[in-house]
Amino acid sequence: MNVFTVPMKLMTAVVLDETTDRVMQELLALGVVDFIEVKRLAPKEASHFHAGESQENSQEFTDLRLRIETLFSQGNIPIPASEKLDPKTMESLSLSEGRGLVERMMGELASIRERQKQISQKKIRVEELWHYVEGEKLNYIDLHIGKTAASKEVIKRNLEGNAYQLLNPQGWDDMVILTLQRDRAQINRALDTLQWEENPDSKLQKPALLLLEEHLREKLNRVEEDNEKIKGEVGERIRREQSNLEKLWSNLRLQELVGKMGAKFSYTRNTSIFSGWVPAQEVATVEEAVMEASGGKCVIEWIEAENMPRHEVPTAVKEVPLLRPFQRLVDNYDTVEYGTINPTPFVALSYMAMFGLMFADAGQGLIIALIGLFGTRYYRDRKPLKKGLIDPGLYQLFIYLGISSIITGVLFGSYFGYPLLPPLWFNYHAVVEGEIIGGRTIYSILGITIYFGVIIIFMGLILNWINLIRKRSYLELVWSKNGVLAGWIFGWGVWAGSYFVKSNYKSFPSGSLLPIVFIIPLVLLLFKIPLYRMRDKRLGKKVESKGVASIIMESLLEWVVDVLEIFSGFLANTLSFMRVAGLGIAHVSLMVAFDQMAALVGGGVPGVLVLVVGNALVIALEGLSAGIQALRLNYYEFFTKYFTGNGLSYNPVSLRYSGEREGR
Amino acid sequence: MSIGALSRYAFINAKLKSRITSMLTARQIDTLSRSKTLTEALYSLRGTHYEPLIELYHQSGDIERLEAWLFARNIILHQEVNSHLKGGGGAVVAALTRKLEVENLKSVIRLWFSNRIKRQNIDYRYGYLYQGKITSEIEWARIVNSTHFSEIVEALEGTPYREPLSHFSNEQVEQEGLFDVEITLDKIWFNLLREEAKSLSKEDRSILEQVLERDADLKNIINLFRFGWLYTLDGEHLKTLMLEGGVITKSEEFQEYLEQPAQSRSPMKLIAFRFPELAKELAASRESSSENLTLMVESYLFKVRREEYRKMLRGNPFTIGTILAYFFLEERQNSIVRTIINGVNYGWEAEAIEEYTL
Repeated sequence: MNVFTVPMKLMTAVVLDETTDRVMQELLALGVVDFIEVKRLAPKEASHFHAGESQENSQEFTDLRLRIETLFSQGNIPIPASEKLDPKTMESLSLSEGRGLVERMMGELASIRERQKQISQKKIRVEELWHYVEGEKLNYIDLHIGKTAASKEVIKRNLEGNAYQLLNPQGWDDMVILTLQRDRAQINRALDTLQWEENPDSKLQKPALLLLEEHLREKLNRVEEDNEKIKGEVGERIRREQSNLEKLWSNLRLQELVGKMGAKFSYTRNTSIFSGWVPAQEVATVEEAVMEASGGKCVIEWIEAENMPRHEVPTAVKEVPLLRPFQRLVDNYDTVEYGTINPTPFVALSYMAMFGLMFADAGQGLIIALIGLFGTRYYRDRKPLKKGLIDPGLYQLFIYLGISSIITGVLFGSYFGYPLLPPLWFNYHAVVEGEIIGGRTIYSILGITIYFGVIIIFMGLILNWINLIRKRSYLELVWSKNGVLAGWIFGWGVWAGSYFVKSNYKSFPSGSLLPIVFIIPLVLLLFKIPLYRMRDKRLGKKVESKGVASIIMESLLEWVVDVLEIFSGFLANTLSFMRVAGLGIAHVSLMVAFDQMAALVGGGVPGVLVLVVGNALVIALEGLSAGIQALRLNYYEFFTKYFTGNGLSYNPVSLRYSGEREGR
Repeated sequence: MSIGALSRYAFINAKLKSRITSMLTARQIDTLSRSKTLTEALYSLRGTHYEPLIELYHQSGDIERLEAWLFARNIILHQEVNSHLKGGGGAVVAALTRKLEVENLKSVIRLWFSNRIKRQNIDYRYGYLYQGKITSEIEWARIVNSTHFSEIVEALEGTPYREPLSHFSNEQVEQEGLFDVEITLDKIWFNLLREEAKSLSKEDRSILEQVLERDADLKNIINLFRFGWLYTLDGEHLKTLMLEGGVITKSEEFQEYLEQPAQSRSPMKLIAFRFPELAKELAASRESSSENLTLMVESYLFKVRREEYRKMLRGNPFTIGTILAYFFLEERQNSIVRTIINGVNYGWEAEAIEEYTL
């Protein structure tokens, strides 16, 4: 596995104007070229070229595509997969036709929604009446029982605009009309018009109300059914145009991508010139595609990334599927600088080790791993609704963290807080509880985590030195704050510190070795500023002219700052790893507390319940805490040693679609 | 800073600050206002706190239900903040929530007025109003179904609104409309909030009193401008509209303004006394329409409030300031969303919508 970023090459090609479209389609299908503007490469020459046709429609393409996506969402239709996009079948697009289709559909949907709104209002009317009848709020309603010669339709017409219910109960001579008391004036007028004859028999009121309650309930159900039908109509209407919409969406997407690509092209009268970064392993494929699409009438030149300013080269990393959850942690931090080490495999190791040390329990680790497995399986067939914290990547991470806890749990003999099996290393629980096992006390745990921190910090320094050698930054390799001199001081500092601890915090190594090993790098650090100035002058960089006294002063000041930063920085970084012990001890203490609580409730079923709840709480809270602390240690103590994050991300123009509202 | 303030506000401060950071961005608001249809506007709210509006619209197709949801959301947010506070802070948040109750009460009384006094058909409109408990136990249905204003007063038994509203008769409301009733309701919640402020710690009290003093001035200046100058209300009536507090009503300029005949009043002196910058802006403006001048004043005063709340967010986090600022920002955001969805629904141009969302 290559731990460095993917090597890149810069392609510059000239093709005949007549073959430009085909070349674009081929490159789009390949999706590996991260285009740059030609003028960036050759500003002088580029002034003789003219830019591509302005993409005046580009925003319209995006707007229309997004509108179609809204239709897809309403119809529960997924956005066409990028595999369905074929640049070779791309047709010329009539924006007005496309817009016409979308407008027509939006119009039709609006009229469906208008009907739905009327149903919504009908529901409010029925609901209000039902609440009053059901809640026996009879002072808010009027009940009319009687007769009229008018037909039902005429009655309805007269009562329109008011909340009412009309009922013609079976076996009754009379009709029943339920209205709101507040509408009495209007209703009475309407009833007068209908020549309504009220039945004075008050005994009919109660059965009428019961019938109305039943009727209103049914009516509410019917209104709900009508609403469901209307909702179905929306989806149905969209699905009827699904294939046209998908075709239009695909075409718009392709036009957008071609437009994006074309914006980076330059033109002469008969040729097109373009330039872009390509991963070295794709060079042959890209060259072949351009040759074929242009019928061999092209000129292609390749420039090695090493011949270009490093900050202009985009960074691509070879993604290892197994390490994807850790790659995400790295991506969240920043983009790796081109040509340097991709930290992902190292982060995987350090993150798992840190988590395991803070959460060392094989039983609880197994639960975390199982949650991870179930979560991963769950998402295998389902797409997460939106990008967020809870997604397949997180569940994959759970599997790794669970495995790490299982390993450390077995090493320390902890299974749901109990020593069910003898430890392979030492009994962590017993040591935390105050026992001395094999000479180990609680201080030994602190010591282990500090040594672990030293290893992590050294690993960071070594990675930094490798990066600097690859970048040929030899002065920084020796003199920077994470360079060899700083590493030297740190290494001897660790040795001296460890000697001090072993002497029971009484003495440092005697003799002249310790002063010498510190004095040498400290003296060398004094030369940092003059050396940097000489290097910059040699490289032709602008260096502020200063007198000797001023340079000495600057060197001294820089030296003081560097020495303070190296000593306090490395000390703080190392001690920061004590949190690993802290969380590990807290984890044990919590388990002990739950064990005692289980004993307090008298064991048995209540005791088991306390332990189950306790374990669940520890897994959720301690797990989260350990996860966050491990991330913090990686970001602040490990990454700061070598990860500059000055990279430019590699963004090839490809058919791949993020699914978000791309373009806005 | 006391330990009490830290324990009271640490959690709620973190919670609200995190909510503030996830509020709609200027870009999202721009996308929202540029939507061609209501559905598109709503779909652009995916992934925001307003996402439930999509489902609600899908369920009902009814924009008024969306507005009702926005109002209910604001109530829930207030109640939620209240549930995280103990002691004086909680009572003040409850008093702030009363503003929403007063708004709802005004809406229900307006419906009653349309139905009973103006004899208009209110049909399903009551269904869109909030009918749950906000702070007091109010039987909303009883109010909207009242036959007489005195029944509304009875329905408000046990609430702070009953006594002040009992001074209004049905005839008075019938003849003069609801203007004075609404002003009375506004004064009730404002005064109750002032009362509650007294129970706060020194620092909180000072922050809240500053806000109330300033709000009283802002509201009073708007009323003096709008009703005293635009609608030429007589001095005595104008005086009854004034909220307690602030410096305007204690000034000589205010007395002069009231005593002048309505036609010859000039609010400039009043404005210059409290907001000299605004007075300069108005003087420099070529705007002559009194409606537009009023809008200018309102817009300026809104900006003053916004800046004050921003300052609060930058200040001591363990005070009531964060809560006040959060409510202000939420209310503003709700109002923007409401304006945009209405604007888009009625086919306004994006530029026109933006004018209303500034």
